[in-house]
Amino acid sequence: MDWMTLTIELVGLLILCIWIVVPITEFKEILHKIRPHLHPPEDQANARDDQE
Amino acid sequence: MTPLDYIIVVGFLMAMAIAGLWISKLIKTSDDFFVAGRELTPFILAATITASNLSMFHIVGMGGTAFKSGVSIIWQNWTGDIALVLSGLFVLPLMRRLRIRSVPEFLEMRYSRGLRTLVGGFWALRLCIYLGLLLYIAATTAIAITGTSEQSYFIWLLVFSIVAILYSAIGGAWAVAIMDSVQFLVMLTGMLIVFPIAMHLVGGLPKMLHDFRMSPQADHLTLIPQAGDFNWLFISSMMLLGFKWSTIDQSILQRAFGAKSPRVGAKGMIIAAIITTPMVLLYILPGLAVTRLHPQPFGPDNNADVAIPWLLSTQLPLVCKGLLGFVLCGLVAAQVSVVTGDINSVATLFTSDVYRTLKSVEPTQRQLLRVVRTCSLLCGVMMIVFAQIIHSPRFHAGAVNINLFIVGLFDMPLFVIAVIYGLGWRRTNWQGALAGFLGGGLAALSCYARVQLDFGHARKVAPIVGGVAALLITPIVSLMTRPSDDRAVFASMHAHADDGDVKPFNLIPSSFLGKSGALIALGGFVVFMTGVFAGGAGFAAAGPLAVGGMIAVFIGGLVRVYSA
Repeated sequence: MDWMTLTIELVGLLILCIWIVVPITEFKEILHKIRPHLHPPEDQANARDDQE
Repeated sequence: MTPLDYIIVVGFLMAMAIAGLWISKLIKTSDDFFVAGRELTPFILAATITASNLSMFHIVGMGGTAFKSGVSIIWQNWTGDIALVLSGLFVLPLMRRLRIRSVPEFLEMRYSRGLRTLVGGFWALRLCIYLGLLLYIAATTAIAITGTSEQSYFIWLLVFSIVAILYSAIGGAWAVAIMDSVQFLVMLTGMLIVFPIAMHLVGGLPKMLHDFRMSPQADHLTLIPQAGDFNWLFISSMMLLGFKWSTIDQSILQRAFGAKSPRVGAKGMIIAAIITTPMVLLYILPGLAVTRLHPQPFGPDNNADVAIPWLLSTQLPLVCKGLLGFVLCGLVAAQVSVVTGDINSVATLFTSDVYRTLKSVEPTQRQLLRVVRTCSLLCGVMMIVFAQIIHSPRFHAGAVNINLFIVGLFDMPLFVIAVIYGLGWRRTNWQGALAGFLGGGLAALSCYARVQLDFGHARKVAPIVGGVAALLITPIVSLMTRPSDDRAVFASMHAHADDGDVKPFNLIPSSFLGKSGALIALGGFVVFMTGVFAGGAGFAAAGPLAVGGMIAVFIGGLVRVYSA
């Protein structure tokens, strides 16, 4: 592979690597933040059952 | 295509649909659906903006244009990147601070509810037609690669649209954001596979460039040509349309409105611009390679759109079994991410700007979610209908022209009333804005009447005429009518503290570094435009000058957005 193709390919691979690492970390943080939203604590769920 | 290729593509489509269903659990409020709960971080934002910006239309269409006309088509993308940085620095933060979901919503805050309903409805319809065009391109490319008959067109339409509708109708902006990131990876991997193979086939990039210089097609390498279809004038027009696109395009802004804060929105837009710039080479250079590999024209009219599908379907199976299927996943990912992003935008526009404004009582969150999902489904049906209309022999030759016709009518007037006067001149009132929008659109329409439907000529003139008419009509009508009270809107736009951010992102930076960054970005833009005009005058150094200006815009933008 010539140096020009290699340089462009390496830049592309660098973007690819950043894109694998960074969004996974960021999505994990967001999911952690909204998890209570998805699974409400047991006492809240029980209170809802009692109301029903 | 081999059975293995089909298995890979079908497996990928099914995985995306299942992921959409899983993501639907995240949706609790309409803000979750429209703008992902305004929780998006810079890199996710950049991924989703980049994925929204790169579709099969770009990879197949622009790669094909490079094959036919040369490398200067690259500016269609690069001017958009420059505009994205400047919009991220000077326009988006003001709009994001208002906590709006769409540009029409801004029009209500700034002008009137009637203008919001009118523009929202018009914009939703315009996006449906564009979606039909995207589906048409996806289905015709699939036919070219798989070698299936023309009769399978409708089946391909259904395959692409069902997956897109499924997960954008159910998952909303969360699905679009998460899946855009995944699709971005698949798309980039596909391009990283095709690029070295194409370069290897022509004996390496330096040899290909040398061969071009020695051939009668040496002008294919001119970055800013003096003449031709994609000359310096085309690049200037693209720059103008780039500003319009990066400041008022719903699919771009909606991603940016999902940002945690105005500064995060600006960071996302600038990172997206910087990332997209080298990526364009991954499909423009293979397009140029096809010129060397396939010197004969494709068909009697040398259909440029066939160039990239030809490269994929003839060369990839020779390298490895299943490779074509994997690269097709990248193309499908590129297409589906744009289609889903736009479906989400149409649903947002209709629900937020038309349904909500027409209801006398504020609807509940549950009602809004039901309406927005129904809208996504209706939008899907409409895009299939438009794709069928475009495919019919009566419209077949004019698919791209139809899109440019619609873009040329009301886009520039909307840019004038929303950005230039909406943000820049407080005296503008709703009467002036309405007159500017409709007057500008009608003035653009008159161009088509005057040239007796010569689309090629009218589409160059119409956006400029429409923009100038809106620029003149809006202030005249505003000054003739009563001023409106918009103090609250301007106070919110220039707030001193931003939610979700410690340091507020002001239009004029407070630190020396911030000021330097903003000046470098603006100076870079001036250098870029000098390069474009130098290209028009035939200077040999015009291309490097313009590229240097573009890089200065990126550096200045980064410095500005990471300082106070």
